[in-house]
Amino acid sequence: MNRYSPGVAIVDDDASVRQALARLLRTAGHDVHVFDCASEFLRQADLGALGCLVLDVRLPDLNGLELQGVLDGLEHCPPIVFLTGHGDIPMTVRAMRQGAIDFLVKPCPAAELLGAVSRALDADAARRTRQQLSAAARSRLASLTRRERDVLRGVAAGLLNKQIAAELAISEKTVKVHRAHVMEKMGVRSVADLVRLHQQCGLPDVRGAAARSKGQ
Amino acid sequence: MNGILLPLLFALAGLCAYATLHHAMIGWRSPLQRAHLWFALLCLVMVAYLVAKASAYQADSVRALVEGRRWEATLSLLLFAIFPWFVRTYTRLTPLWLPTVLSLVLTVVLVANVLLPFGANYVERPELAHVTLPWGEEVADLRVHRRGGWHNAGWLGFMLVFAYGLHASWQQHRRGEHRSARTLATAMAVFMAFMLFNQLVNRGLVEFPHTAEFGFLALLLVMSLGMTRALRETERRMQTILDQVPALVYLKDLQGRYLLSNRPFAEMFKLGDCADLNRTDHDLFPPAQAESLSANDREVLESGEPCRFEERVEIAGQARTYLTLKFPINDADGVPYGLCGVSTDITDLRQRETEMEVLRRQLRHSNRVAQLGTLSNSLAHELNQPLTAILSNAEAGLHLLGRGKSDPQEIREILQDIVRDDGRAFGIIRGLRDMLRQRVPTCELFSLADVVAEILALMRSELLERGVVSEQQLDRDCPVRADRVQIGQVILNLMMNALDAVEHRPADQRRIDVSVSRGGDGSVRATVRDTGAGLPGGKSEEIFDAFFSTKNHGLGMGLALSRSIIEAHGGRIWACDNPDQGATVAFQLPLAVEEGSS
Repeated sequence: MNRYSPGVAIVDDDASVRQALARLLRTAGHDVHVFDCASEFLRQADLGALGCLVLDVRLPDLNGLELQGVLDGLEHCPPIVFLTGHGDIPMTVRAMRQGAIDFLVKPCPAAELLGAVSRALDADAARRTRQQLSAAARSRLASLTRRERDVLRGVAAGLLNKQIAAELAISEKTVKVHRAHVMEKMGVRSVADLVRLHQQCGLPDVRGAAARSKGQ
Repeated sequence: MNGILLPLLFALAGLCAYATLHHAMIGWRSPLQRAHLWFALLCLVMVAYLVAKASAYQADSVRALVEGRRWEATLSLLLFAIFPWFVRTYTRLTPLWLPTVLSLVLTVVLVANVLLPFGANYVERPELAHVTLPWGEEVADLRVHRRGGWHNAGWLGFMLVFAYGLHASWQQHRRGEHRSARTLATAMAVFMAFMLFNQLVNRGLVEFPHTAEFGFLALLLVMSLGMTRALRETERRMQTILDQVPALVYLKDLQGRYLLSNRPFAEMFKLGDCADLNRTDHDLFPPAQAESLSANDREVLESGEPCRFEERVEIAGQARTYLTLKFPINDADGVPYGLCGVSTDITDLRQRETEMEVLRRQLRHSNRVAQLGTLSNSLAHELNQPLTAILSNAEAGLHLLGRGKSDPQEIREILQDIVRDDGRAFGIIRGLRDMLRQRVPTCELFSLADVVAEILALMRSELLERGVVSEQQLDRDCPVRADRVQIGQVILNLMMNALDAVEHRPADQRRIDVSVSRGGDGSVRATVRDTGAGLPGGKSEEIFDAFFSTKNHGLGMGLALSRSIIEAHGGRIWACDNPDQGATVAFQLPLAVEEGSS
């Protein structure tokens, strides 16, 4: 499914733990990068090439949860597996609520860690696919004219051609022509595909647009 | 009936000579018995007086009569000049001028008696006459028919001396020493009565020889009896003191036989009568204990010096500990003839000391347990790190082996890492076990820096957790000889205090610096410097008191225990505010000199 192999980053301030985890993940076939603190990670890590971040909570500068908060706002945020010496419930809740894949307590069996890492990589792969599709759809969307985009919005909102024509104050025939152009440009064969693609782009539906234009 | 008076006089002289020796020996070199010396002197003068008197009675010419009388008067005046000093010493009266004036008056008369042609008694040349005594003895007539001024002055002096004696005994009576006051007053009164009888003889009212010397005999008897009784009194006083001393006091001869003991000793051994001793340690104690006591005795006798011993013996089935002072007892020539022992029962004291030590140990232990309890989360984390590494390494190794294509070099590295991390985990567990175990203090040689590093290793996670920056300067060449765990506990306490002190500081200002270095004066010093709020109210001494605490959760025992530990190791601990921010607590211990090095 993933054409490239995303790396696994380990951030832990304890050298021997860092080394042992790295060795374990390498034997499992992962590409491992190690960092001894959060600031080092932020400075040196290539976020785009990472598919998973194994993160200790207790770190000398920023702690793990704070680092999670920082990464949350970035575009390429790898899924995080927390690995801590001791975790209390509030800490776990906070980590999971911020989207962590798992919250593991040291010492943790390899199966558990590798499972969590592999789930993280899957999630990362899914995220990457979504991002790629969405990028392709956007570029196609950009090739549409303004009128064609209006028609697409109408189609996505489930309106009939007649309704779209009325909405846009054009003839039903013109709507049909635009619609054919849209199908062609977006590279889809069915209306269902068109609607899904439209949703991936995250565009507002026509009712919203109409409401907005009315408001103006 | 011939020859009664003269033999009587000589017998009396012999008696006085004996009394001289007797009292001189009592008073010799004994400051408390100085009165005996004066009395001996009186007796000596009396001997001379009696001889002079006897020769006067036997005078066969006027010249012999005059010279005899002159000698007699001289010696009696001397006697009375000395008498006030005896009285003063005997009654311990303080004024010096009274006896001085009396002695001066009598000395003036004495000088006159020597210089005048016929002595003080006669104003003109006397005639040699003889009288026949009632029992038919014939002696020279010593009566004074015409009394001159010097004769009367002498008599006035005698009377003044008597007055002084009565005054002194009255003073003594008022001081509450009724017995010796009565003795003195009786002796004075009897002596005075005989002296007055002399006057009757002189005036021809009674046909009898002079009797003053027999008055002195009365004085001698009464005073001797009184003073002997006083000696017995002194002895009884000493025995009373000994009996009341809350210790066993005893005297042994060179063979270890008990010669003397006080009442507590007799009661302790149920001996009943102190005098009936004459036994040795072997009669009182089991053989082994008796032998060790005898060994102590021998040590004292050989050294000739007082020695202290702690003696453990079993008395009536009870083990008791005594602190004993033993010293040799010498005779007048300085040759030891025995030894004296004073044994104080310190069983209860030792017992309490042992109990106190147990309590102190328990207190120190609970302090360590409490401090480590505070650190439990961090300690678990510290232990989890190597365990995590071991587990991951082991599973990585298994994985490699499972795949069938294992590189021996890689497996070796994995195993080496496992061994290293296991050592690290073991180090933490050993540190914890030492700190948590109830243990007997031991003394060993170690580097202070090592112990500081061990404690800091236990606290690493806690510092991290609390966002505290810590810089360490540890000079490894700082050997001390001490109880490793207790010193670690002190450092732990100082670090926990510092952690609490910086807690309320902004995150970027929490700093604890630790250093171990050699002091210039043969000491090793450790300091913990924080950036907290400083000493509470600048109280650099009070913070080491027990139950002094500024924390909501503290008992206030940490620094008090730390001080007791450091001081027990011959070191000291102190605290001061930093010039910029926070406080520094430091302690120093004596630098250990490594064995074998010169």
